[in-house]
Amino acid sequence: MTKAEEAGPKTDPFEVWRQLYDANERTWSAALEQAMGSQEFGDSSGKLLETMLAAQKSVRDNMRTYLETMNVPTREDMARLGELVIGLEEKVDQVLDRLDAIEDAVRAMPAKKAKPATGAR
Amino acid sequence: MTTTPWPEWPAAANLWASNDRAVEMARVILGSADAPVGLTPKELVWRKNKARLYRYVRAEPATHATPIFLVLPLINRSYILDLRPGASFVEFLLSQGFDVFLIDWGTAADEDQGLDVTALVTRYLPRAAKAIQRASGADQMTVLGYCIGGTLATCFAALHPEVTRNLVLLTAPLDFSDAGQFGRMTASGVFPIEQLTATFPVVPGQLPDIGTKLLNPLASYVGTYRQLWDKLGTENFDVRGWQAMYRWVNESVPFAGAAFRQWIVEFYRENRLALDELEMDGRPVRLADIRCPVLNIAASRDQIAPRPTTNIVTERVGSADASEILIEGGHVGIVVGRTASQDLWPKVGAWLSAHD
Repeated sequence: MTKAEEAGPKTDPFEVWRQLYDANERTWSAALEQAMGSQEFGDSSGKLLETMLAAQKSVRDNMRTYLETMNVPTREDMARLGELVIGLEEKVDQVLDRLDAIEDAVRAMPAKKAKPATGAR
Repeated sequence: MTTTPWPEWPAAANLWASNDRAVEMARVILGSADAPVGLTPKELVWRKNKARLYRYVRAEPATHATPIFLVLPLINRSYILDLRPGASFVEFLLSQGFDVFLIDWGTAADEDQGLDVTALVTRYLPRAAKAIQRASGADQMTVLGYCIGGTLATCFAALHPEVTRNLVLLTAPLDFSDAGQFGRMTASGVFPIEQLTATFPVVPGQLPDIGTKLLNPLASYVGTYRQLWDKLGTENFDVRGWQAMYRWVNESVPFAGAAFRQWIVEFYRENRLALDELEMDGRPVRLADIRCPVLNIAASRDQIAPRPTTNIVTERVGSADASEILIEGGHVGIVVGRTASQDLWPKVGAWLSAHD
């Protein structure tokens, strides 16, 4: 017997919540699924997201202006620096790729016989 | 809608009888952020930007010749296939004698806003594969992708047949013509993708996370805690196991802006991969170019990668050896759920052994 069973439903205040959930979960889920699958929900959530994004963009723009005024590097400044490093790493990788290709080509070449020495004695 | 009448309310004197369990519940939930996960020892083999390629440490040499290259989704942490001892797909593969490599995409930051799916497939995966060739000494490998990682693995296999010996897809969405609720959520005119990526250089991990949870909101936001409440009352409740799963489900990763935009526009909305219209760095990505053996694993109750998104693989690839396993369960449950070690893992292990 579990502790919950020992305690009995009458002594567990969360039992009310649990019973409600168990009894109605399927019905509520079906209703939610139907509501969220509707075009109206899609349009509404899209507009809500657009509004939140507009607010967020406004906050970001204001913060950037403030930091630029204060001569403090902004997130964009730091990101640009990071992008330069990433770009540099990519260039190094491209050089390594070319070296690998050359190495592979050299290995694939048939070994030539060593020429007899013809130098002056 | 039918609802049941209110249950009998407990006596006021007993209202705090469950106080201990409520405190314990809060402790378990809050402690899940530090739950130990990804414990299998691994060593760093290659790195680029935030991405890391790891090789899992073996006590003895691998008994199989073909290494396994695990490609993870972009929205999860790297420990999801190595959750904890006894619930680790990686641990299972090691026990079967495989040499296992995993690419961890890391955590995208603002400087990665221009990093798109094409870059990941054409600049990251091929170099990681080369590092695997060097480390293992094998020319070819089994590429195993999970979820979005499966989609990336498919693109990689189509572009690089010379290194892909086998392709294994775990609940990988490839055809978005009927992408279910996710498809409706991200549809053109509904989801403001351009505004989103213009505002956020990297899309906060919470956004895809909320989208996932809205697929089944009641179960995600209430059912999880209702189950925990019950389990806390039982003996032998594996608190660490629950915390590890909770951490997986709730620990989201930011999505690089360009990658998210490409994922939504080119994959979800335009369905370019399934329609043979996808190009990466000017090269066509065609499913028919995948001629290696393919194993497609789908979950019967998958809401994240619903069945219509996963079932075209075996028909469309150019391989003569393409098979499918349909597992009873959901997107996450089939990989680390209780039955994973008895159902999915042995089937995958047997297939991999037969295709070594």
